[in-house]
Amino acid sequence: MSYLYETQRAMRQKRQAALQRGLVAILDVGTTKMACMVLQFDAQTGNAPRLGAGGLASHGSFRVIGVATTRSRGVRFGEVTAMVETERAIRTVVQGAQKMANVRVDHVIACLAGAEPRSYGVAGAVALENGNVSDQDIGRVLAGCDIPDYGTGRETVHAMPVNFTLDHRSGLTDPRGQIGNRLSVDMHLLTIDTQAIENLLKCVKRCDMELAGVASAAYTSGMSALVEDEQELGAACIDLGGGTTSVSVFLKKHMIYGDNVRMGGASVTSDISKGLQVTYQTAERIKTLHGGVIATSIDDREMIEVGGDTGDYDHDRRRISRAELIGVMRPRLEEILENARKCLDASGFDHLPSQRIVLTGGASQVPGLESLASKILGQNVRLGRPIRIQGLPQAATGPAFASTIGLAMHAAHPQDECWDFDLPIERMGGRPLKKAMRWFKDNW
Amino acid sequence: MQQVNVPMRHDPAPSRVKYKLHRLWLTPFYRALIRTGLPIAFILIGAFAYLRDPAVQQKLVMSFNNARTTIEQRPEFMIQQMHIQGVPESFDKLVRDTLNVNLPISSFHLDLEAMKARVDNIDAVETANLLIGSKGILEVGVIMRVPVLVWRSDEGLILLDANGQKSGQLVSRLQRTDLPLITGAGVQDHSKQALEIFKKLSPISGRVRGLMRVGERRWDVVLDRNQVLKLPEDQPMAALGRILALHRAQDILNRDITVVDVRDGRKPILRLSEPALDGLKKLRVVASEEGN
Repeated sequence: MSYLYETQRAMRQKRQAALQRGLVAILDVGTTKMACMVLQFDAQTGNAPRLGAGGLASHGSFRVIGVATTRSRGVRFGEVTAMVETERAIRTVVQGAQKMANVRVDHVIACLAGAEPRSYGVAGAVALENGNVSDQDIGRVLAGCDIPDYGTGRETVHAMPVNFTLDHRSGLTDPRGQIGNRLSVDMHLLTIDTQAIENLLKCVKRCDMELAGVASAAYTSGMSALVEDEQELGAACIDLGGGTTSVSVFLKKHMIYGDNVRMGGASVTSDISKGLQVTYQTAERIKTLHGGVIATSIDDREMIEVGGDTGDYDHDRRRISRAELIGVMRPRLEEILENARKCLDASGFDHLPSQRIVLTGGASQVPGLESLASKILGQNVRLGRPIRIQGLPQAATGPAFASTIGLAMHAAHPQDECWDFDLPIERMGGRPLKKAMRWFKDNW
Repeated sequence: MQQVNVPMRHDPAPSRVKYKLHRLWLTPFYRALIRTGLPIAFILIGAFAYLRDPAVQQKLVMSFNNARTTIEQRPEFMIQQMHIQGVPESFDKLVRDTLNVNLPISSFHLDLEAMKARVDNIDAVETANLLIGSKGILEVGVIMRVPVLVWRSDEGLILLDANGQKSGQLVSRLQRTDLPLITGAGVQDHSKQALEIFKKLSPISGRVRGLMRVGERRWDVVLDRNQVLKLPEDQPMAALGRILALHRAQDILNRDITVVDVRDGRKPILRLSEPALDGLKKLRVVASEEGN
C-alpha cells in the first residue's frame, strides 16, 4: 500500500508542477487512433473546498490550445506491442499538438484503453478516536482498507473512495467534522497490467516528456460521455473503441466498475476484410461509408463497388449489396455488445437505481447501433457524445474522442484518490524527520 | 480511423532529431536566441571582420572627414565677411585683430562664445554681440565704453567710464581736454563720487584743474593758482557745499589762499600764501604799534 502511495504521489507532484506552469498534454493511446491535446490552465479561480487533495482538487478552467490525431501504430488492444512504432506515433501526435499550440509541453497525462483493467470494491473501517471525523481519520480509514491480493504484475491506477459510512448513516461524500464512533469507507480500486504502464512510460520518456498521470480509458470516457445526473443516479458507459470496448459503471459520480472487452471497431473491419475478400483499407472504407447493423429491403438493392487493384477484372469489379455488408458486421457488433452485457452483469449493474446505458466511441457511429444495443442491453440506451470543452476544434468533438476529452477533464478536475490523503503516522514507514513534521502539523 | 486506399507512402512521424529540434524551437529562450540573438551575432561578426582591416578603417575615416568638410564648406555655412558695428574707424582694426578670423571660414569652426569673451576683454568695449547673419556675414555688435574721466596714473593717462572701468589710453592730455582729470591711486572704485564732485564744482568749473585722491581715502580738489580744497573722507559733498557757500559769501577762493581745509567739520581752516602771511604779519605789527 505504501508503495502505491509513493509512485502515485510522484506522479501527482509532476502533475502539480505541470499545472503550475499552466500547460499539460493529454495523450490518448488508442488502438486505431492516437490523440494529443495541449491544455492551458487559467489562474486558479473559485477554489471550492473539497474533500481530500485541496489545492490540487480544482484547477479552475482550462482551454484546449492544441489538438492532433494520428493513426496509431504498434498498439494492439490498447497495449503497446511495437515500442518504436508507438514512439513514432506519439512523436507525430505530440509534435502536431505542440505546433498548433505553439508551446512546448513537458508533462503528459496518458490514458490506456487496454491492459486488462480489473476493478475491486474494497471496504475499510476504523473507530474514531475523538468522536468526530478529522482529516487524519479519513487517511486512516483509507489506509486501513484491506487491499485484495491483485497479483504482482498489476498496478493500481484508480483508488477512489466512493462512499463513506458513519455508524449507520451511509451515502456520505464528505464526512469530515461529523459526529460518530465508527467510520467505514467503500473504495473502488482499478488495477491494470504493470507492463502496459511501463511500456507507455518508456515511450513517453523517449519522446523527452514526463508521464504525470495515468488513467483508464473506461473511466475517462465515462467522465465525458455521461451527463451529471447519469453519473449520480447510476449509468454505464460503453466506449466502443478501435481495438477494445471499455465498460464503466458510474454511481454517485464515482466509477464503481471498469472493465473492457478485447474487441472493437477494428475487429469489425477485419471481419469485413476476411468475409468479403477485400483489403483492410477497403474494408475500413466500406464500413465507414456504407456500414450498418439493421438490414431493410432496400439494402438488398443498394450495391457497393468493392474495388481492388489485383488486375483480375472479375475480382476488382465485384459488387456487394449492403445487406451482405450488414450481415458481416452485425454478428460481430452483437458479440461485442453481448460481451459488454456480460461485464455489466458481472458488475451488478442490475441493482443500480437507474440503468441508463450510454454508447460512445468511434464504433458507436455505425447507423442503427442504438436499436441493436437496446435489444441486447435493455431499453435504456442512448448514444453519447463527449461534452464540449473550451477551445476544442469541431473535428475533435465526435464520440471517438470521448476518452480523450474525459482525460482532459480528469486532468483539470481530478477526483479524490486515496493517495491524495495523508497516510496516518504509524504507517508512514521509517522517516523520523517527516514523521515529526507531520506530528507537529497535525497537533498544532 | 485508418486511411483508406492510400498506399503507405512516407512515414508521417518526425525523426527524433527533428522532434527535438522542434521542441527546442518552442522553448522561449532558444526561440529568442535563434530569432534575435543569431542574426545580431552574425551581423556583429560580419561588421567586426570588415572593420578589422586598417585600410577599411582609413577609408571610413577619410570618407567621414570628406563628408564633414563637404557639409562644412557649403556656401550656406561659409562666413564671407565680418561687419563690426558700433566702433569708431580707428578701433575697427583692433577688434579684427583681436578676433583673428581668416575669412572665408566655415561657421562650424567659429567659437562664438570664446570670440565674444575676447572682444569683451578689450578695455574700451563694454559688451559685444556676435551673430552669424544671413548671406555669410559675421555681425559683431560692439558697445563701447564712454570715457568720462581722464586718470593720470603711473601707467600714463587712462580714460575711465562712469563705472570706473578703463576705456582707453591717452598719449597727451590735450587729446581730451573736455574730460575732467583725476589722479591718485585707487580712484577706479570712486569714479562716481568724482563725477559728482565735478558736477558740484560747476560754478567754478573754469578754475578746476583736477581731483586728487589722497591716501586712497579722500579727495583734494586742485584749482588753478595751486589752490587746494581738502575734502573730508565722509560726506565730502556737504563739505564742498560749505566751501562754495563761503566762496559765494566771502569770495574766499579769489583771495590769496593756498589751502581750504574742511576736514574738520566744525570749522574751515584756511592757509594763506607766503606773501599774504607776511602782509598779515606786517599789518598786525602796524596794528599793535598803533594800539600802543
